[in-house]
Formats: sequence, structure tokens, C-alpha cells
Amino acid sequence: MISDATLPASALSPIRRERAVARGALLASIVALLLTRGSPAAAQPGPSRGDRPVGQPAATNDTPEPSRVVSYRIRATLDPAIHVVRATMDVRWTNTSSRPATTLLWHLYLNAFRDQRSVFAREAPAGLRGRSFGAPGRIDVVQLRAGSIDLLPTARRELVPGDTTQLETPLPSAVAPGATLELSVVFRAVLPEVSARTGWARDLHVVAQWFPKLARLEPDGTWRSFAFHANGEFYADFGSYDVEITAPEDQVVAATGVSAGRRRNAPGRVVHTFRADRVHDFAFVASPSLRPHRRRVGAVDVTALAYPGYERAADAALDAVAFGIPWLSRRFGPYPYPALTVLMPPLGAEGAAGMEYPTLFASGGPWLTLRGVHVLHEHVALHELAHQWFQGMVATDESRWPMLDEGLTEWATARMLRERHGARCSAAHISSLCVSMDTVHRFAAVDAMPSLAAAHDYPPSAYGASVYFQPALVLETARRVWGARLFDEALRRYAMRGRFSHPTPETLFRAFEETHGATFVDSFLRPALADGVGAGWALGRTLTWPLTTERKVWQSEVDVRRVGGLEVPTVVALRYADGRSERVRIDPRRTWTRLVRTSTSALMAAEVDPDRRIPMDASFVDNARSTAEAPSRTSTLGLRLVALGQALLSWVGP
Amino acid sequence: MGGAVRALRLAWSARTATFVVHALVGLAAVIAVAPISAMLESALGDHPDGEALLLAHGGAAWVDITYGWGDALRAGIVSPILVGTVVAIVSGPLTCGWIATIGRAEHGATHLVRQCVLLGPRAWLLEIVALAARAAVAAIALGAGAGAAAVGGALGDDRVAGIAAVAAFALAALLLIPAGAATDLARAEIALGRGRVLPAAWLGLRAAVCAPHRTTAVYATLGSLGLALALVSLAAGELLAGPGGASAVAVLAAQQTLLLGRTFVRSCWLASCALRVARPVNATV
Repeated sequence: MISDATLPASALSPIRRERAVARGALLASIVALLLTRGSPAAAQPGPSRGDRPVGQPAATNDTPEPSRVVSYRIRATLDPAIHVVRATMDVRWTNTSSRPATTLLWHLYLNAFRDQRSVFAREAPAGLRGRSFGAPGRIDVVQLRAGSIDLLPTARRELVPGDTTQLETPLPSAVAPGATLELSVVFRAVLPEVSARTGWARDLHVVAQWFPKLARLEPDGTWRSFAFHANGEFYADFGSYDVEITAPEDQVVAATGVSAGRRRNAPGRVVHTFRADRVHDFAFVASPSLRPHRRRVGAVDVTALAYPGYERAADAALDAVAFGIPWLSRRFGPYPYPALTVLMPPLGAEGAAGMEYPTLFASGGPWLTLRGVHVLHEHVALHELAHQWFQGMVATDESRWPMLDEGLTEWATARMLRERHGARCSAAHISSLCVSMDTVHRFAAVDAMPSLAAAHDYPPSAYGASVYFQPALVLETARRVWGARLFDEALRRYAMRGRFSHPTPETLFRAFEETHGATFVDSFLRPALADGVGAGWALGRTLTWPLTTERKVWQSEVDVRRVGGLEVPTVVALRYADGRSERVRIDPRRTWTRLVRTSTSALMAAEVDPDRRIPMDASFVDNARSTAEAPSRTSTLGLRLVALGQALLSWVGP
Repeated sequence: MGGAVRALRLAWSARTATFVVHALVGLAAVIAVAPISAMLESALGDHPDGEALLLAHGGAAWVDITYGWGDALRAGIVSPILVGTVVAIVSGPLTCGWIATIGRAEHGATHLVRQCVLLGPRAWLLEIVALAARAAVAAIALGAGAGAAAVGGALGDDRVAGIAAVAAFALAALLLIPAGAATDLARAEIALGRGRVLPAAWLGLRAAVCAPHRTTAVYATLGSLGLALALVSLAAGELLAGPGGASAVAVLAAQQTLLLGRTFVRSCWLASCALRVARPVNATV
């Protein structure tokens, strides 16, 4: 099944369909767990077409664990002068589904940059991240064989009309469940001028989405493949990579995994060897200008690669990573790899910044740094680091449910910033001005739509709001209202359960159901994420009046209104003239509550959710009201605005 | 020194015109900010924290206030833009009329209005010339900066590129000072001299370039003083409106006094321009 051919290109999918998809995926996950372990023994495809399975039948003890379904052995040569990588590749793939596989689906994602007909170019005709397209890029598969059989003559190259980012190769004979297939590929990757994520700029090469990569065969035997879209690109099996990169000797080369040595193979050329295990992608970077800045964080060797003059930014990135690795490891399971590389792209290569790959990510640079503003470079570094968990290890389908990695990552990023800089100044602290991540997320989430739609179903203007920021607000609301301990336990369970596998939204909901109960999921989390239902409270009429002429007994009435459909518990704080205050719990099931109080002094003001436990509240301005008994304040705001206007007009005026 | 005293006297003698100009700008500002002011008052009027909410939590309330306000927000944004445009358009004639009033030591607002109308077409022409000249100067400076930045980038050193870009911006900003002085001198020539646009522009340019200490330096000094007064007025407003703040009258008095002072400083500079135009400019070079 090819998703782009079957999924309607509607706006947001109806939620019923989303749930059906989620249920299907859940079923598929259960099937995967029930699969018997099979043999990774070498497969020799049969010489003729037919339904007879090829390869070795499943042998219970030898089926690769879900985190090692595929292995790639790549021998690549980078020619930086013409921005081309030539490579040969041996792939060893095991059918871990419950059905024989009759075709293979490949991702040729570099073809997204081939021309304006690609799905990517059509979705982002003006480019991404403010960068327009430069020199094109593409991937040419020169040879693709299963044993001695050439698979290219029967291959389908345009699974979506005009787009060549997927390749379907029918197999001469089916690969039985548990059987292993060996393939050999020869290809040439022409790197684009970097506009989004991958390519070259100046003397830097960010080589990502550069090799033909197998899509993921779901446990029910359907291929989950999708074109390279403007947003959401990762979904693949875990596996091992053994990659040799030959490059001119002046190039500093870093890649996914760990370096397994370098050797000179010809005058002026060096072979760099990298090995990575239990990862779902492989990327590398090369430039003669990169300088390594190293730091040991626990058992992890962290290297920041930066251009000359970027030393401070490299230090800042290393500081963030040194904070983030233990923080994330404590909550979501240990970082399992021995190395991590952080690239700081230079000016001109900003399009490659803010992108995650297994054990390697591109952060920002000094060009994304402003003293006191944590939400720029530091935010990007922590965000991409958090992706090592939510995407790198908890490898959800980013195209189908981008919220599962971006939303959780953004929530974790904001929480790290809160712990590093305090909640009030978590986004920025410039002189006496503090900006919180709540404020940033609330600004950014204004146009949010339901968060659990597929990446390509969002209009570009709503993608970040819906997938990154609104989920972060929803999750933070859950944590503050229902308690940090429960929340952290739920996310920990989800992360541990999804580690080196491919969880779905149902996996997340199930984890929360276990810790918070079904009511929480059904009445809050699911409608908030899947349906985009809002939450919040507002005050209406707020009155106080004396019941006696001596003004010694007062009656007060406060109307509390639930805004949005979600039932989020809250309290109202009442403040009286004698300095006394009280807090009253509000029943979240009621859409409207009138508080009536008799007291010995007048009510001065009332405020619902005074501790700001519901950051997803659509408006805080309507959360508090004064009564007529409150001392009147003279507003000088209008006068001061006039003075500001005069000062500004005098510069364009006489 | 004597020139400064004479300029001060001349500016003082035309104080009514200065006050009228100040009042006109004030009126424009009222129109510009009225919609946004009404919107904020409506949103914050009943809140116990009042205006303080605007700065609380890093300005979080702005999301709530602006989101969903549709037409009110649009009016709040469009109004200052429209008013600013109108003020920029009438700025040339108004300044010329102001200089004419100062230069002739007139008092009345009527004289100011009459001069504005009389000088209007030539003043607008001069504004176009001045604007084109400024744009050209800025483009050259920024172009040079971009070139230097590109060279720095090609050398692989972003610091060079960054410094070049900042230097270009600084240079462009710096060049606006003599450009401003030259424009005012040209306006004075339009208002009090022979009144022909291109010779006036040329005269202003020559004076600014050939006698920088007498034109650019004075312009920059008085401009800085005016900027300082404007900033102090804004700070005073914030200070007086703080917790347990002063009355609206006190805020109004403090801010408007300081802003009127800023307008008077401007009139002193224009008086100085008027005095220079009264003599042959060559004599000052």
C-alpha cells in the first residue's frame, strides 16, 4: 500500500478516520509483537517471478529484533567540487511482517530537489525556512539487484505523478515472513544547494536523505511509504550501518554513529569509516572549515562542529547538550550511543540548521544567538537533542503523526528551558524583561488545528502551531493540573515502551490511561490532541454589595464560565478588602458556576486559575476581574500612547 | 555663540508657530493611537492588574488581547500607519512654513498656515529630491556593505561578513545626519531664499558637506538633545504611571512639557537654518 496514492489529499482528516488509522496501527503493533523470530540468513531470490517465497524460512531464534531489521553497507565517495556522492550499497533486509513481501518500496528523497514537479516543491514552491531553491539535486539509481536479478527494469518510478521520491521494485518472487533478502545497489547522489535540510552551501556538505532507503514494511505486510513532503520525513526500520566515505584529505567528515577509523587510500584522499547500530537513518557532513569542539557527557563523546569564529556558539551548544543528555536520559531512558555530533551550519547554510538525524543534529549558530534569548540557539540545540529520543529512538511515523515526535520534543525542550532558566524567564531574560515559554507557545499556537493529523494535511501556516506548540501547551497543562509525578511517569512509560520501535498515538494514550485513568484520556488528552478541543476559564459578572447599612456584611457573586469543551479542574481565588483571600474549587463538568459568598468585607477581585496551571487557556485576560469596590485606578495608558505616538511622528513629521 | 543666541531668540519669537506645530503632531498622535488605546482600555478595564498586565509574563496578555479582536485590531494597526503617512506627506510644506514663520519672526498660526499653502508645491518637490538622494546614499552604503560581507563570506569568515554588514548599516545611518541637515537647509532656502528647488537642494548639500562643523554638528547635537527629551518624556510617563502612580494630569503635564521642549529644540535648529540662508551660504564655507 502506498500511502500517498491512497490517502485523500483533503484538508484535515476527519477524526473518525484518524482513529481508525490509529486502531489499525495499534493492531499492526500487536501483530509485530506476536511475530516469531526468523532467520537473518542470506536470501537468494529465485530466478523467476511467482508467489513462491524466497530466502530462508523463519527460524524462531534468528529473526532480528525490531531494532535491527535492516543493515546497510555503503561505500561512498564524496566529490565536493561538484557536490556529488557516488556509492555502492549492500542491503540486507528481513521481512518481519506476517505476510510474504512481493515488492520493495524505496525512498529516493533527494529527488525532492530535482525539479518543481516533486511533491516537496509543490508543497513549498517558494522553498522552506525562508530559503528558495538553488541548484537542484537528485539521486540516480544506476543498478539495483537482488542476487543476480536486476530489479530496475520492472521498477515503478512515479508513485505520485510528477514525483520520483519513491521507487517500487517488484520482486521476482515473494520474501517469506522472517526471511532475509540481500540486495546490491549502485547510485549517484547529486546534492542540491542547501535550501532545506540537505545539500551544500559554501564549503559545507550536509549529506542527508542521500541513499536509496527501504521504506518500512508494517507488521500486517503493507508498505508504509510516502513521498518526501515539505514536512515530516522519517519513518523507517531500525538497522545497522557500515559506511565508508572517501573524501579529499582536507575535509573534516562526521556522521551518524561512531568513527571506526580513517585511512589514506590514494594521494590526497582519505577513507572515513563509520558504524551505527539501532538507528533508522544515516547522514554525514563534510567541510574543510569545520573545527571540532569536544566534551564528554557521562559515557557520551559529544563533538560540536563549528566554523572558525563560532567558538562561543559551540560552547553554548555543548552546555545545552551537557544539560540535556542526563535530563532526557533520566526521563525517557538512557542515551544508548557512545557519540553525538552537533553541527553548527554557517551563514548561507541556515537551511540545514535545526534538523535531527540519529546521533547527529544540526543546531543553529552565532547568527541565531542573541544574548539573553534562550528561545533561539539554545532552544534549537535542546530541541534537536530531544529528537534523539522522540524520533531517533521512539521512531513514530513522522509523516502520519508528526505531533508524536515534534509535539513531545517541543514539550521536553520547553521543560528543559524552564529548569535551566526558571519558568518565568525560560524563553528570554533581557535586563528586567522576562519571557516564558508559555508565552512563546501561546503566541505560536494561535492558529493551531487538531494535532494528530498527517503532516501533509496541514496548511503551511498551521503546521508549527498544530504539531509543535499546541501539543506542548496541552501536555504542560496536563502536567500542571494533574500533577508532575503522574505525568512524568506516563511519558516515561510511553518512551520506554516505544524505544527502538514504532509507537502510535494509541501507545501514548494507553500510557496515560494507565497512570491517569481512562477518563483523563477520553475527556481531556484525546479530544485536546485529536480533535483540537480547547480548554480555559473566564470570569463573567463579578459583583459585591453591602447587605447592611453599616457595610459590615457583604454579599458577593462571581460567575465562572468554562471556555472550550475540555473539563479541566481549576480554582477561583477571591480577594477581600480586609486582606483575606480564599480559594474555591470549580467543578469542571459544569460549564457555568455562580459563586455566592457572604463575608464581612467587600470582594475586591476574583481570578480563575490564578496559578496559570492551564497554559492552553485561550485567554488569560478574562481570567480576573475587579469589583466596583476596588480602589479606582486612573488609567494613563492612553496618554502615554499619545506621547509615544508624538515621539514617533516627530521623526517622520516636521 | 552669538549665532546660537540669535537662533534662540528667533525661535522664541515664533513660539506660537512652534506650539501650533507641536499641537498638530499631538493631534495626529491622538488620532493614530485612539483605536488601539480604546481596544486596550476595553480589554483591561476590569482586570485587577490593569495596564500592568501588558508587561506581565513577558507580554503574554498581548496574545489574548490581539487574538480575536479582528476589526478593532485592524483599526489599531492601520490608524498609525495612515496617520504616519499623512504626517510624512505634509511634513515638507509644514516645515517650510514653520521656517518661514520663524525666519520672519512671525507669531500667528495664520501666517504658518498661509506659508504652508504657499510653499506647498515646491516643498513637496524638494521632499522628492531629498528622498531620492537619501535612498541613493543608503543604497550605496548598504551595497558596499553587502559586497564586503560577500567577500568576508567567500573568505569563510563570518566575522568579517558580520562586521562589514554592521559597518554598512552604521554608515548608512550616519549619512542620514548630514542628509537631514542638508534637507533642512534646503527647506530654509525654499522658504526664505530664492525658492527654486534644485538650487536649494544643492545649496543644502554644499553647506552640509563643506561646513560640517556649522551644519552637521549643530544638527546632530540639537537632534540628540531632541531625542533625549523624547526618551525622557516616555520614561517619565512610565515612571509616573507606576505602582501608586500619579494622576493623569501629572503624566500629561510632564510628558507634554518635555515633548514641547523637544519641538522647541527643533525650532531652534530651524531658526539657525533661517539665519544661514539669510546670508550667502558661500560666506559660511
